[in-house]
Amino acid sequence: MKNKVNKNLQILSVFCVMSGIATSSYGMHIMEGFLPPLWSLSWSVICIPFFIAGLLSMKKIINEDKKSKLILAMVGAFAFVLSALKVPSVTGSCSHATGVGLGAILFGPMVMAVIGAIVLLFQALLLAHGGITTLGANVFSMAIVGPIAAYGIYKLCRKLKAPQWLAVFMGAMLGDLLTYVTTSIQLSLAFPAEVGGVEASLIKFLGIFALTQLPLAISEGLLTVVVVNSLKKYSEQGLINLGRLSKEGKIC
Amino acid sequence: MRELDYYAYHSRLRRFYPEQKVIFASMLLLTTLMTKSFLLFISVSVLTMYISILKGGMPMKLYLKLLGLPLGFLCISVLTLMVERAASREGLLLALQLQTIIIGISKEGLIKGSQLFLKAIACVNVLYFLCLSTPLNDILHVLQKAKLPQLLIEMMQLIYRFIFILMDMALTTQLAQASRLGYKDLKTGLRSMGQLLSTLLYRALKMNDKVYTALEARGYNGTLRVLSNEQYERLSLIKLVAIEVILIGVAILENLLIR
Repeated sequence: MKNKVNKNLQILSVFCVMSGIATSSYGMHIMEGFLPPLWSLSWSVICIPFFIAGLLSMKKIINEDKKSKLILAMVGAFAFVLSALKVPSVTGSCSHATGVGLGAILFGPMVMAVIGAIVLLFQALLLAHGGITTLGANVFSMAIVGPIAAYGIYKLCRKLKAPQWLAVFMGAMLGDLLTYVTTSIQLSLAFPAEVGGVEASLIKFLGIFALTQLPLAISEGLLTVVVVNSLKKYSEQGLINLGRLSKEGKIC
Repeated sequence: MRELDYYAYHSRLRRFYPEQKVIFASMLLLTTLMTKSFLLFISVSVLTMYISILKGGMPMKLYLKLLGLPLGFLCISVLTLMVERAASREGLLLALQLQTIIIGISKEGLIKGSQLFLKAIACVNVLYFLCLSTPLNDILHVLQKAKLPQLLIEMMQLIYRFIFILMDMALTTQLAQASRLGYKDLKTGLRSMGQLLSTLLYRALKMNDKVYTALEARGYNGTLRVLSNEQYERLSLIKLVAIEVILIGVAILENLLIR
């Protein structure tokens, strides 16, 4: 078992190097005041149905098992703390949606729309990552597109009889990547280029954001595998109780 | 993160009604977003900095440090926007030719870029005014009064509480690791970071169990009830409206002058 733990740590180290390099140069939350008012408003409006569906689904989960309310809150707090922790030797903080991708695989994407929105609001108010006016756009890319993609890809891989670790990896990685693609699309829609319009602008943003985020996405996938594995181990040993999750056998 | 929360609780502006501060900040944000006036952006920035530093008692040095946080994203995005492909070198302030492709910054691009830069900085200043004068708990009270779903508010309260406990855990562990030379070089540092993350998640879930047991022993049935007996003072409405009118006036004035 010790060897296994060591191996996990190695994977984690790789993750940290990669995310450190990527995030030291680029943050990916759209900052306060960056989007024109019309776009801020439209993205917020688009988020509302997902948000309400998330709230309803959350209510259902909590009614089934009261304890899951605290677990959900803990996942939110964990995602937040991850985004605020300093990665060694690289200045700046590593701010990404790791907990959100993980949560989508554990709890389903709908709930994560709500948790993600809360985490993003707190990041704006406590860390100055993102902003209030751009909350809608950030929620759409990070708490709606990302989790839905992660969950869908995870389920698809499981259907194709892929091993669980691969499914988790693919889900978390591609979900992460799609988040940045969405951010690029949002920025290019708001700021089309003089020559070439939205497309030219999209290529510029995709080039800068998505490509630099690729190593980060891979590392996020690795981290999620490590975390899901350790969760599984802990709950098999009876050290933690995941409530509804372990009953449904989603990960275990 | 500690900084924003700490100064929000210790701000001299804390005693005012949070609703008023939220509304004032939203008004400022709205006017800043709606206009394209350089003068307005600068006056909003100066105004909010004045309020936060001199009225609120935020140390100037720290405030400037906070202001530097979003600069990375801002510079990269603005540069990405300004550098464009062009048909010819004509009208470009700065041009770079790669065989047949010409990329460069045009005058309009520069104006647009700097406009966006100042606008974003002004908005960030407004955001800081809100963050540094109103603790999150107060903002949650405002949201509660705005009749947001109870479940949502409760979730926020829970996450807000857990954040600090987890953060404490993470920082203490990191300090303990560092004092044992856990971060002496990159390789060791990254190993320590890995240990930290997996322990943190385990401990979070473990603590969750304990919190739940403790709550249940006290008759927890799904809702946490907290008393709020804060006494707030009113900001003068006339002043707020006057500030808003002056700002809009500044924007209109600049528009007229340019024409």
